[in-house]
Amino acid sequence: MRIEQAVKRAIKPALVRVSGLSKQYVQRGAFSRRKFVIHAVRDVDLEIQPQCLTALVGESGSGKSTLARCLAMLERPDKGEIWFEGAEISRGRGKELASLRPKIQMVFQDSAGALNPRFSAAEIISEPLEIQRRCGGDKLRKRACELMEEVGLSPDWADRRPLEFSGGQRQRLAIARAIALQPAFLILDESLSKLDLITQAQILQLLSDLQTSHDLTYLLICHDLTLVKRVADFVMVMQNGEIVERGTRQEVLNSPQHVHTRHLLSSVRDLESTFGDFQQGSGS
Amino acid sequence: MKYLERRMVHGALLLVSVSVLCFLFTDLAPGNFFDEMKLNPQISSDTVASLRSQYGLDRPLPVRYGRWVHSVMKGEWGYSFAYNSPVRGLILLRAPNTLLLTGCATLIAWLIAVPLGVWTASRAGGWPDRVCMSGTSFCIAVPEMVVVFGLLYFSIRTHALPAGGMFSRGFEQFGFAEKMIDLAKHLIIPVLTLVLASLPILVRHVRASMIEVLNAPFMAAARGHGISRSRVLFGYALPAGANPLISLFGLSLAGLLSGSLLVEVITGWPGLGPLLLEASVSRDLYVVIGVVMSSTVFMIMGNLLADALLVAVDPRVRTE
Amino acid sequence: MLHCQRLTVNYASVTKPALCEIDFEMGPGEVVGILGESGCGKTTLALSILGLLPAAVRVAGSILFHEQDLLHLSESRLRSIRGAQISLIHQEPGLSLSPVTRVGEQISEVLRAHRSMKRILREQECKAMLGKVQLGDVDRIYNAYPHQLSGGELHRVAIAQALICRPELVICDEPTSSLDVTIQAEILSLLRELKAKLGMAMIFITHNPALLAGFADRVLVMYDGRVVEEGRVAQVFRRPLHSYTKELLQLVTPESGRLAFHHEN
Repeated sequence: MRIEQAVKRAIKPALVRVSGLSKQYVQRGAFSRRKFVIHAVRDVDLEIQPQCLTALVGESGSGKSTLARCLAMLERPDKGEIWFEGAEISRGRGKELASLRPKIQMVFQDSAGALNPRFSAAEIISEPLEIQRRCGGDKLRKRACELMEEVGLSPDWADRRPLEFSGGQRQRLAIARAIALQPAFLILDESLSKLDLITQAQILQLLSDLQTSHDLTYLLICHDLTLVKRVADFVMVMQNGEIVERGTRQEVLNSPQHVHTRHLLSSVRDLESTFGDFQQGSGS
Repeated sequence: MKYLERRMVHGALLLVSVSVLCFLFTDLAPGNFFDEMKLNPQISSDTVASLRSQYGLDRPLPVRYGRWVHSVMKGEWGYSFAYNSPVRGLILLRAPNTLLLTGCATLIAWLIAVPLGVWTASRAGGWPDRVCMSGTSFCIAVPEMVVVFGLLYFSIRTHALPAGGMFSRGFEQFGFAEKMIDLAKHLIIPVLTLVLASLPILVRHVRASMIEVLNAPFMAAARGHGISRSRVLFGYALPAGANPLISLFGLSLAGLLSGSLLVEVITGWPGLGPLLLEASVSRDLYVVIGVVMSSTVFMIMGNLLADALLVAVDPRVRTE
Repeated sequence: MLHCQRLTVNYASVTKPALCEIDFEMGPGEVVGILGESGCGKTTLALSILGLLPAAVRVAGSILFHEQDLLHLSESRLRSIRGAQISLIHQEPGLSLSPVTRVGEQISEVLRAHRSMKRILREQECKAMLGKVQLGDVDRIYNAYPHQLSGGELHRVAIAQALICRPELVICDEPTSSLDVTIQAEILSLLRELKAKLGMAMIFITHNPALLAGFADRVLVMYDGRVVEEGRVAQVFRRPLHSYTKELLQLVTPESGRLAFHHEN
């Protein structure tokens, strides 16, 4: 089984390939001439395999979100190239990229901030469909209700505002919006971080189901290694704008090579072991 | 430094554009200062024509503009036909009166608006808030003219306050204290009018800004630490909600020279208002341009000050 | 020390009570964990203890703190208790600090509200507390604005602010939910140390049982506004009785099942 998997992966080309990606931000003081240059992403190379979940792990400020935004075409990198399904997307002009944008979608961390509070749920989901002119009129609402059902929300709530939903429900709404255009690649930028454990588990189950039905590839940006352990196929560790370790889940989590990875794992390990001891009855 | 430098350059450009526009507009207006004279049968049209050329009114626009700029550089700010003297003297004579009036009105309006706005915001929905809201709506709806005429009528009927003007007869002979009291009595009606015109809007802005801040989590957190309500309001909420108010304050400053025209004319206050009106009616070109430019200068300075204050007060704006 | 009796809280527009017949007791120096998912009423409980519920609520029952019913105290008495005897560490400390005032000033304010001390002494006390929460460059942090500090630093500042008056009871509302994994571990160990050093009682609100292991003495599991299970932590974690508790603990066990994310077409 494993060999078959490996062979299959070797044959399938990577969905996303990044080489030499760099992005920096410049901050200026208001009255001074000083500039602070923040190297958010430094010379990053990576590949994302199709139909898998790749986890990008790192502390705050390590550049994960910037990298994600570049992949989602929300920002232009300063240097480097991004190849998606064989097309270079970081330097293209508007029209060329327009056909590719629907294929890469993003779900953000703050669901309340990512959804327009004045729109109803149905309007939020159908907005991308409208913009991309996939359908119109009555069919919009119908499609929106279908999508709501697919993510586990009752279509009766189609007219509710986002703030009337709970956090977990809002993320479902955001996911429905993201899959409306039938993307191939879904980036989840800390989308599970603000949810409690049980809701997290439910959303993960939803994502797993969606992957089967929609043939999706996920990039999960996360700082919670416990979560990553449970769901990732591939793991990449980022520190200070660089990817310091990458590999399959087993490789990275069981035999970490880089100091930073070990540091991250040890924080989680202490917690888990205390808890494990507890459960087994050897703690006090 | 880059920021301030840029703003000053903008300001200078603005001044130049306003002066050009002023010239253009006054040129568009039909007639000139000497038209009145033409009506007088005793003065021949030749005299009128020669007067015109003497004052340079028959020259093309750019030449006149150039001569005006030259005059500004010299410190004369143009020449008034009616008063036969440089514009500068006229403006410097009248401007302090206007500033006294608007300065008092602005100060009083702000001193009332801030506490009132904060108080009604903290009791949003309660009866003081509702009374305040309807009161301000009423004041905004009533035109300045009606207010000032109403007050003047009241003062004439009751002889409680002087009905206009700035000084009573025999002002020069008054002692210092009497002079102050006299001035204050004359100030009451115009200042009251101006305050009633500007106060409602300020109160509403303060209230709106406060309401937004009052819902912020750090307010509840401060209460949770046991800090007293009044301290939370004035020590936490007000500074956090100050941004829009500072911009408004800049606008208040900007309008110091221009906001009181109507009131001055009606109450006979000897400020820039009546001067401008007179000059407009008689087509005393350079006086009009001089007054407009002075207002513009104030406006630019007011805005610059507001921006500088914003940067100084809000630490978040600084590290952008 | 703290005794909650049949506490029921109803928000005005909602028929279902946010809290229903909550009953629990705490002794001095005890650490009680409150476990549950969002919406189960944990934060409402914390707010009720401090009297910070919005005006439009109906409350029944009593919360006795040293034999005084907190629900029926006057606002001024409550104010003297808040921050000084019972204090709260918010979920998002970045939001609980005013963005336009220096951080040191804000800590000093809390001290000022409860003790009469000279300004210089207050400043020293605040800086000492900042040191106790393991912040390195105390002077820089004292004079910094919230947006100039990192998440971990802000958390420590919030902890310092809550502890500055040495309260008897500290309520930590999800203290680690917005933090990175490494900082989470640091903050948890900081809280443990401070508890050991200062000996205050703690109510630790969280949705992750793993954080309570080895730290809390007792745990209350809440679901839908009610306490569904209660007891010493070891007992509840090893032999959970209620199905919800079992479900929750399942999710955190290291060997809990992997979700099948990779699949073959």
